[in-house]
Amino acid sequence: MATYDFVFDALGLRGWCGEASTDTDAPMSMDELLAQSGGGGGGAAPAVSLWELPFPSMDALNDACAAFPQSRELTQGLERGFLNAKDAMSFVLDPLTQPLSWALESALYGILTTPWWIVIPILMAITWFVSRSWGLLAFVTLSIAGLAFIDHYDYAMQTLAIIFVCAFICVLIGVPIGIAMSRSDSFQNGAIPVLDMLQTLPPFVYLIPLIFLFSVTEPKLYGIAIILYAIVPVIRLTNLGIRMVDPHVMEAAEAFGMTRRQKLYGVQIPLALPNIMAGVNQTIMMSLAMVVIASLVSAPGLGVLVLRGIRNLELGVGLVAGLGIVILAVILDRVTKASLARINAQQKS
Amino acid sequence: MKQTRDDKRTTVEIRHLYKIFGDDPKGALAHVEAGMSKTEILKEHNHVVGLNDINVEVKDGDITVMMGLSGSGKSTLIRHLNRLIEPTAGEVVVDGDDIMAYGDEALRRLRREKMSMVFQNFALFPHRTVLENAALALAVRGVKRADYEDEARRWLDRVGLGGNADQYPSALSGGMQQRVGLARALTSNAPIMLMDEAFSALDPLIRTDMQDLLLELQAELSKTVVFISHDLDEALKLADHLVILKDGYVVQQDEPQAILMNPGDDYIIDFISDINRARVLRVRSVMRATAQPQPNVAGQVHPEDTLEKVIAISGGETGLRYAVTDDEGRQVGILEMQDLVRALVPTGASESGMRTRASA
Amino acid sequence: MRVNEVLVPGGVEGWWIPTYLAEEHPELTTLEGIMENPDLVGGTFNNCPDGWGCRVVNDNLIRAIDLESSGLDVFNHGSGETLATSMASAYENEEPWFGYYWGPTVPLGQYDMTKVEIGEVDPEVHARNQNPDSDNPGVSDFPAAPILTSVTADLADREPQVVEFLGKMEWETDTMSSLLAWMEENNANAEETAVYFLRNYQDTWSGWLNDAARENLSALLQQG
Ligand SMILES: Nc1ncnc2c1ncn2[C@@H]1O[C@H](COP(=O)(O)OP(=O)(O)OP(=O)(O)O)[C@@H](O)[C@H]1O
Ligand SMILES: [Mg+2]
Repeated sequence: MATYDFVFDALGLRGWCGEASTDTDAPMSMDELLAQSGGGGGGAAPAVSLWELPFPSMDALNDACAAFPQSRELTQGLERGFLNAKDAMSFVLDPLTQPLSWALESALYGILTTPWWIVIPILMAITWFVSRSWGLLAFVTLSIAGLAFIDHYDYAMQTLAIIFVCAFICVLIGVPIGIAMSRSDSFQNGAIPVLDMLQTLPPFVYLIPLIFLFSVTEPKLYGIAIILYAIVPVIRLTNLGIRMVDPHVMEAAEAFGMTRRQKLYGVQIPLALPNIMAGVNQTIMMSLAMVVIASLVSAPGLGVLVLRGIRNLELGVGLVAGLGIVILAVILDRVTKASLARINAQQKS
Repeated sequence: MKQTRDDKRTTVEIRHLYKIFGDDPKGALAHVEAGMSKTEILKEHNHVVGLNDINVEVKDGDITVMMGLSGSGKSTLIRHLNRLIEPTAGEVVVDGDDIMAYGDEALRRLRREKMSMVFQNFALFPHRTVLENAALALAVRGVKRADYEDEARRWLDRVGLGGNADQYPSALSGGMQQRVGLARALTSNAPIMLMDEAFSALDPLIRTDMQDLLLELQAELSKTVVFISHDLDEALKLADHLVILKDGYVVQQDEPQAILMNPGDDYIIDFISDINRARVLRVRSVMRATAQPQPNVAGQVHPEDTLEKVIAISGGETGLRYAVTDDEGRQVGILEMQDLVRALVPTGASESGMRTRASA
Repeated sequence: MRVNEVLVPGGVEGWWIPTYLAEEHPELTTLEGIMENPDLVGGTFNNCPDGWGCRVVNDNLIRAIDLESSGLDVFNHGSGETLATSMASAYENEEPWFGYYWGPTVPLGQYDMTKVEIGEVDPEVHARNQNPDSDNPGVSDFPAAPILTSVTADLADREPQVVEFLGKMEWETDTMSSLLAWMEENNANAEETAVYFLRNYQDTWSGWLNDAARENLSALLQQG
């Protein structure tokens, strides 16, 4: 009946294949229905020319042998496997990631309940502290005031709070991972494919298992999604930065009897700092890029407005919110770059 | 009377040291011991022989210079003294202890307290000020800035960088940076100083300055210095004991004057053929040692005077004879100008005619 | 060109709790009951994502009845998927859940949910509640939404028979939901579901066809 019948006949597996079941509840395709009704006698399949030969895929083989699994059973199997492991995984991961939920909740709560006339000066102070630049300070102040003026203050602050928390955690976790990678070639070789995967996998794909693992109303859901995506550059650049530290300088450190700790904190991290800061800058930018996607799993902030704009084709809402994200991006980029420049200047001077 | 080499205490002794680079150094070691050459081992077993049965005694208070051409294994050798490189076989004994038996902690103590190091490329910490760099050894030991500052400033002053303490290394010229490197080694107050081509990266004039500075400091401090160089003039100027390396083995080691007068083989002859012998050979190497006064002496010279100086004194007259007297005015020998002139011709060249450059 | 209302009684939307919860605590089937016992429904109202029509209505209802005064948190979902997942995972774990949903949909077919009575349906109030800037939102349950079969005038001209068939085609919302649920459970595609429908819901479709067609189809199915 089907193209690949001969494979099973030749292997003597016809018996194993069995007859197609007649259970009315089993899924049946329109073709099968028609084939059945065509019924009884001359069921010989029309000869298939070589030109139209189907690839011997799982589905094509299933046509020839009902016992052969269809490809959708592969995806189903994957799903079942994940669901079976799910309870064990969430038992471990849930408490482990709980602090992330708390951090996000309290950051969001804190930034929204604190009056704007306290929050804005704090942001200005941070800007000044890291950049020491009047121009940048003025730019940041005007940008935030502008966002507040068009009534996007709350949304922008929510986004900012989420990014602060996520970027902070990225640094907290990413820098040690980067250091570990710089110390062990085998760990580096193992970690790089994972990092590549995190960066190339569409974020939606790892959102799916996350949704299964955790309660969807938990902020950590989007927290983890953002962190997984944004942590990559800080890990990569920490690793790179430490590996790029002049080997002669490291040899001198060794020759003067520095301990591993002294070398790490006294030489490697300070010398890798420009690279690490470049990684932090990238990480912040990537968290911001994830904000809209994170809003699909209920992250508050400007992303919500962008989604509203898309869903209702409210062009204006989407554009203004998008512009808000761009402004935040520029602010964060300038501020981190300014602090990077300051570190560089210090080492070069 | 000057102390002879045998009277001096041995600070560092290198015994039967081998270093082979490659995947299976131990396996290749057997071939090296069986007498295979560096080229054969590289070709047939794909291993690089870095050091081949090195035996050197470094005497207390001496400047021991290890010299050889590029790739002869100098850097590899000096890095064994503080175990920056682990040997394939052999021992390094420092003050009676085999440092190969040291654990991490003991090794760190050795590096912090007994040995300091100066590098060819300076290897200063770019993120620390000149003062902090100079004080590295003290900071590593946990001394607070307030306590190390005076000491570090003192040594910076001594190497002539008193005014640059708060600058960063990148603001200094190469010569100044190496002065910081020297100050860093001195501040550690370690009795042994390892210097890997410390002056090779500097301009010739600055290099001479630094050599003079080192000799001046050495006269004052009497450290045990192991100095690596590929420059024969520098080696002859600084060395109390000269070790000549080739392809990872020691070709000849002796007092420099002795090597000049009695080169061990053709390689050395070739090696020393280009130097200005009048400027490096000293009277004591050419004189006939005798306390017997001789007639017709044209004057008195000092055993440490260079031949160049004596030629100047003699006005080029070759028939003269000088009495050699030491600091106390006692006669220690007689210098015949004829011997002096003969000594100016490289020893091996006249005998074997093997000078490659002359025959080419 | 409207042909027919395909679903009877039409699309349902509203606020729901799982039936097991309703059976255990019958008082939770009314809004008052829920507002008195917010903890029994998990303390959270699962709201629509921003940008959805229901979000506006829900927000107005929430304002009108002052839902949050009862101690319930309103959780604004970011997408329909998380809204559905929250319901599904609560149901699978037999946990309390309270929120908005609509049918006919896979989840409502798959999970047995009970509608919470919000109050009378008042079309005028409901219309007011659909305005995001409404000054005086009121309390009104969601009216059933008509789900229409529409065709272009062009098709009606070309294929009068097909359009006549479409004009007769209608089924119950429940049937639709259970078909969707069957499809989800068996991981089947739309075509396979259509076959399943033909083979198992003859009563439903037999009224849609003229006699000749009905006989043809029955004969075809009989042979199987
Ligand atoms: N890590 C290593 N792996 C393999 N071979 C090495 C390694 N380090 C040194 N060698 C080899 O050992 C030999 C000695 O090298 P070394 O650096 O000690 O020479 P050097 O005398 O210091 O030369 P230079 O004057 O160029 O500094 C060379 O043939 C070199 O190629
Ligand atoms: Mg070297």
